[in-house]
Amino acid sequence: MTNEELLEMIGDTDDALLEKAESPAKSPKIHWKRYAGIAACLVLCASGAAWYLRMHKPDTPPADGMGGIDPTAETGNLPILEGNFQGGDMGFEGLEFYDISELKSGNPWHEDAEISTLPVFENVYVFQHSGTLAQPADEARMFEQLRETAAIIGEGIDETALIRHNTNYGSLTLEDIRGKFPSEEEAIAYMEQGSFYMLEAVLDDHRLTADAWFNTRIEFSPSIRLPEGMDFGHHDAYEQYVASAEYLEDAYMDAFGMEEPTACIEGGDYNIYNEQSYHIYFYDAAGDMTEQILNYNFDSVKFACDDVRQLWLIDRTNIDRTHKVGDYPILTPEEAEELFRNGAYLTTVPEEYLPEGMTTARIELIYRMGRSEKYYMPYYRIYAQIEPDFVREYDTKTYGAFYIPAVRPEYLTDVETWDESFN
Amino acid sequence: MEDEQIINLYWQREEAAIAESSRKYGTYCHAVADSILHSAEDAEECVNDTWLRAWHAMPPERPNALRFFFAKITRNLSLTRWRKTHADKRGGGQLPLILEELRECTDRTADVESQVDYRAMLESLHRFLHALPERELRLFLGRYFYAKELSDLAGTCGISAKNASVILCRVRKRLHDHFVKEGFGNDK
Repeated sequence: MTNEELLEMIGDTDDALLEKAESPAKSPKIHWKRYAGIAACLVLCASGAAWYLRMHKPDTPPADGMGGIDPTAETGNLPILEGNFQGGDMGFEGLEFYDISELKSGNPWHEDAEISTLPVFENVYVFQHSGTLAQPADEARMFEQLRETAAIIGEGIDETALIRHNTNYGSLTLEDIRGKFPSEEEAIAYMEQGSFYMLEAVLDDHRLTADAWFNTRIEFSPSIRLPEGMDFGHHDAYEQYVASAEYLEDAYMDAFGMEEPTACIEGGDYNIYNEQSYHIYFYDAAGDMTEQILNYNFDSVKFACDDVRQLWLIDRTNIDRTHKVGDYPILTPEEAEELFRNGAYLTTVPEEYLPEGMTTARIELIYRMGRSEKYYMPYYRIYAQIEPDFVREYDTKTYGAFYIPAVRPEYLTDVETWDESFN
Repeated sequence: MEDEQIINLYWQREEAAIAESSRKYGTYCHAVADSILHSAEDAEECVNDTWLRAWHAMPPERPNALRFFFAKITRNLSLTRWRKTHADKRGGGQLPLILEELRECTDRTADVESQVDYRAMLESLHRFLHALPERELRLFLGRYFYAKELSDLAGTCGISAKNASVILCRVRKRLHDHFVKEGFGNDK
């Protein structure tokens, strides 16, 4: 029997087996869920401190509860960031390396950056559990972004041939919409319910999209052959990515209007076949450290290749920064690490994978940018070696990711920031 | 509308059967097709064809689980469409990977369609799947029936994508050994 025949045969699987496979999964062991109840029992007087410990119960709570951090400090006029962390079914965030030094990042933040405040932005288009956006996507703006994106590659957009993606009906052309809704008013009313989230234009050689969160994408079909020596594949060496990035910067980055486009070759983790992989991004390194951090997290251009080393994707992330909540005082990296040592962190790593006395292997400051995040706010991400129970064929180590909100705890209550995805 | 009522509509040759099927299972079937085809347009056509196939199949068929009855039709139509549209194009989506993975389970000397007793081998496959732990079954069918990406599957099982990949690798090896043991392949 061939693999294709087997694939066909699996299509005749018993309904009972399909039913069993679709039954609700047993809840994964996620820290903050496990300790949600326990946290209420901890003797802590301030809401900020309670929020931290809801995520993970320290084995030995520090004498002052927050390792020297005062959760009752004055908050001034800044709004308290409210919400609830949401758990759910998910994998855990972990990377494989022989040594953490193999992890490559272009993050401009460093431990000596001496930043005391960072802005927090509201995601007004937050994606809700109902499957709709908190407010309807701005179709006019998305169209304008599509038009600008098309101009980058010398194309125009046919307004009548657009496809509207929404969470209820999938992809709809104008003709589909007319067919589904008896009147234009009903069609407009439907779109305004908030399930419409992305606009797509299909051109002869490209597919372009613009979404509600200000991201745009160009997919090339057929993909573009890069000059010999400037191409890149999924598991090329780091140096090859550097060479490709230099070419891509010269060839494409002028179109994106960045003052100082700076390449980031990120990744370096290993898959189960012992292959490393990297990704190429660019961000604007102009401005002071805060501006660079914001650009790095909110505004980047990613290039991706296909299986035959040809360019098939340019992904522009340009998250909306127009709804600023305020500049919030942040923890120092030392304070974040102290919280980590005390077990006050967010993680998706199952409890049974956590060894005693975890230590920081790498710390960085990032913004979490998920569509379900109510606020775009900074976090410290700490990588620490963990001990998963799966057997490896190679001698790599697993490093789990642990998040500590960088905004000082007196400004936080139950912050709804987790969208069950990873940055 | 209850499944039984929808089936009755098909049996009564009421065209409302299609509208009700679409209303209840359209999104689900679209997801099944889209996992295979990675094209909203192609998926939409396969889903529409699904209702037509169901119209021709009922009567005489009276499925016990309408959801899976539709899913199997959609899956078959999507696979057929994928073969037609992707035969000469670069590999997109999950199917090329999935086929490569399934090669590990089959008789590795079989490059052409082989003459096996389909019914007997399907029963053998069922014996194997029924004996799998729930997590392994969820991963196996999620990957090879629904053509889902590893990261999505890992999410539903609370494990990392790499862990899911390792588990599936072991299940494929076990399935290969199971087939060999039951006389449906050789140990090469």
